[in-house]
Amino acid sequence: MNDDDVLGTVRDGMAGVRMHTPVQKLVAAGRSRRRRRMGGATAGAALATGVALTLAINIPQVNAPPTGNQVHVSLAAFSVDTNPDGTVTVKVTKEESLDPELMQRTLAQAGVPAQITINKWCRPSDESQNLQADLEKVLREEPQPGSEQDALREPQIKTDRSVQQEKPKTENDVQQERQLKAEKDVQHAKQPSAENDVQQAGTILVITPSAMPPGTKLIMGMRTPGYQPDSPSRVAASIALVPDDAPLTCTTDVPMGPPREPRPTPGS
Amino acid sequence: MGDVEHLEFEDFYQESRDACLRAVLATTGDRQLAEDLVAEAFTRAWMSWRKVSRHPAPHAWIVRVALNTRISWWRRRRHEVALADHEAMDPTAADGVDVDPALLAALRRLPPRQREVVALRVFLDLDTETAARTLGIAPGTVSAHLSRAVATLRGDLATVNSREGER
Repeated sequence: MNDDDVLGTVRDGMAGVRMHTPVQKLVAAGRSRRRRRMGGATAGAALATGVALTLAINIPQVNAPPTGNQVHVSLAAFSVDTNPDGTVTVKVTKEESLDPELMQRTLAQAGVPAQITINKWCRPSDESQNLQADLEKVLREEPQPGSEQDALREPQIKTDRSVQQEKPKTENDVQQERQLKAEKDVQHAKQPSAENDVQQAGTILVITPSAMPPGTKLIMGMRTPGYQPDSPSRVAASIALVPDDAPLTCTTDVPMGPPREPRPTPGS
Repeated sequence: MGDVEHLEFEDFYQESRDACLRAVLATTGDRQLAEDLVAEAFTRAWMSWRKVSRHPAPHAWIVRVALNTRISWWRRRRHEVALADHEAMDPTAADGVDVDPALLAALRRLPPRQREVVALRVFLDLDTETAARTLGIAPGTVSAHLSRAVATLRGDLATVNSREGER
């Protein structure tokens, strides 16, 4: 075999390799990235102003949103809005088209360090790094008033409360309750006829960045509609608060949420 | 981007995508990763098409960007952030049946720089000067790498051929 034969063999061996990605997909990705860049540039300028102001008045809270940094991003998949009281309202409306990296960047601009995953759920490998008590102060879930999801979530809240009233808690009960609260599992309202409406209605999370201890982040795993439809779990999103450097264990299996009581029938 | 530029880009993509994919595959040795990287590089080319279209060897630009992206994706993966569009690929593209596995194995055994030189010289048909500029090394170094790569491949491919002959 001379040199040309060798190179010819290499060339022929790859002759069947063909690119399958359609050009339209690349163009669509490029267009969407351009739009993001334009939005990011505006938000970035606001962030820079905010950081300058924060440094000037020497606020020590690392995770607090910079003063004057108002983030108002509204996309098809999610929206992030800074509120006058410093909290950040996050609404996820379309998980299937959500770009996790973009959402992370947007939250970071609003002063919320977060790691977002789609159809992948992470937990700290060391359970002691699951900052359950702090998460309660950081996160509040606000179902849209009057939405079906709101109505379906109500029994869940009642279950916890009824357990508290009926019998004294054992150590085990307390542990379980903490665990369930800490995970803040948001549940899908899986009624086939109403599923789209519920997805459209979305879940509203209100985050208080100033309540996040320095060096921590939120880890949020979200489930797209139709992902693992046979899973008995109704969990749509799972959220935890962990130290930045906490080793995580991840799975693509939908986590099991807290047990649900049957929906109360009218008049019962 | 105007209509004419858009058509130019489409034409460039149709004409050079397979060669770029083969070059990146020869370097990375991973069929699906190579497709993802080349798609990413073409997306960036679309975004900067006015600049890329004036490049003396735009397909070499694509391969260089794809290989650079590989490094940044690897870093990103360490932080467990999912890649955008990573699972949206055509599943038939990932089966690897369109590649000669013995050849891929032989290429994988080459040092990375030799693989890059083979990729640029064989699949993009670049001359020594252009390959050297793309890789940021001297033309003489390109020739030396190619010569060593050919010598190694000759031994590996001859072994494969003789094994196939025995069957």
